[in-house]
Amino acid sequence: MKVVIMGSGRIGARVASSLSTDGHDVSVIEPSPTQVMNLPRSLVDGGAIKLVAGDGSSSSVMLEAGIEDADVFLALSGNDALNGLAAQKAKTVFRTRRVVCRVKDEGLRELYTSLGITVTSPTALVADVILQTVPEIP
Amino acid sequence: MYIVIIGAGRIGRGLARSQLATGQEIFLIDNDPARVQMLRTTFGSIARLGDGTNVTNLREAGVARAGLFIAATGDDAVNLAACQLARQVFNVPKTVAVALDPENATLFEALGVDDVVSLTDLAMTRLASVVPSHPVVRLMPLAGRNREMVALKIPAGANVVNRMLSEVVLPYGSSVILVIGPTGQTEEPRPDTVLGAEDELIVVTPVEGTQSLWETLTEMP
Repeated sequence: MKVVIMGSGRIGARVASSLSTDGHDVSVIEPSPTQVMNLPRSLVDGGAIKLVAGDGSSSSVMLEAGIEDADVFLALSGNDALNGLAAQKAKTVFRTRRVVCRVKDEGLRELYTSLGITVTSPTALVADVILQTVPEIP
Repeated sequence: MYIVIIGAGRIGRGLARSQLATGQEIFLIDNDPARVQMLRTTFGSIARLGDGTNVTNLREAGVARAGLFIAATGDDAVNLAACQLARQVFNVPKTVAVALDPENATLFEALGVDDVVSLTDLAMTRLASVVPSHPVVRLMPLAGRNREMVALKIPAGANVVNRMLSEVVLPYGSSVILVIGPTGQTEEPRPDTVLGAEDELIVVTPVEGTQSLWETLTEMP
């Protein structure tokens, strides 16, 4: 499958390398040269992951990353509002079939969910996992 | 009317000042302590520190009773998210977003923002009216003679329209070598050639005469 990922922080980079290793066609959009270092060099240099430098919510950058024929768009930057804008652009402008948006703020999570976007909140997930690992607490 | 503004930059502050003067009730949210402090010093408690895309901040700012919500930060993504929250969560009847990127202007309206102010489009429209629409096009320098070949189009309504070429005083040393009509037909210029609107003239002129040549051919009554 073709996957476009916005953001190569720790989460974005990990998702990108995992999908790429599994044989998917992965493009990553990231404006910061420092954040790009989170991606495994072997995958970037070998061309397995296509890297696009730029603002991930700009149409021209999304097009360069191949959004037009992407099956999945993952907005995984650390910026909630930017993720929301890029996700809505992917959904409404480029009609990407599957759009996932990472959000920290609970209020925005509800908003984007109500707009039909699949939202994932690492904060809520980690909290759940922590609670599960301490079964003594009823 | 109660108006909540996200972003206390130049636009937000200017808006607050003008609306307070007309008796509107204004409240601003900004994430920069210095800006919030400046507003409080000038106007009293009309601003609070916080993220305009946070539901709790919006609730505490009383967005639920706002008649108008304006998102005027320098970040398009924040402006969209804030307006969408104002509409979806607090049922604000009218939301307005500022957009820097022109491509966001139409998108934001499609995504439910009532009114989008595109700063770049506004600036471009204004600038286009300042930049002359009938510029001199420099075709080529003529080496060693301090002359150049230029193309100029005569705007509709210019003084030279309907005048014969022999009646038009061109800068010393300038000569028209070709007249191209609006439909592309070319005419070798003669003294009795009548100039028309949107005619393009190819002229060889001393470099120092180019500006006054442009003024002569584009001057309006």
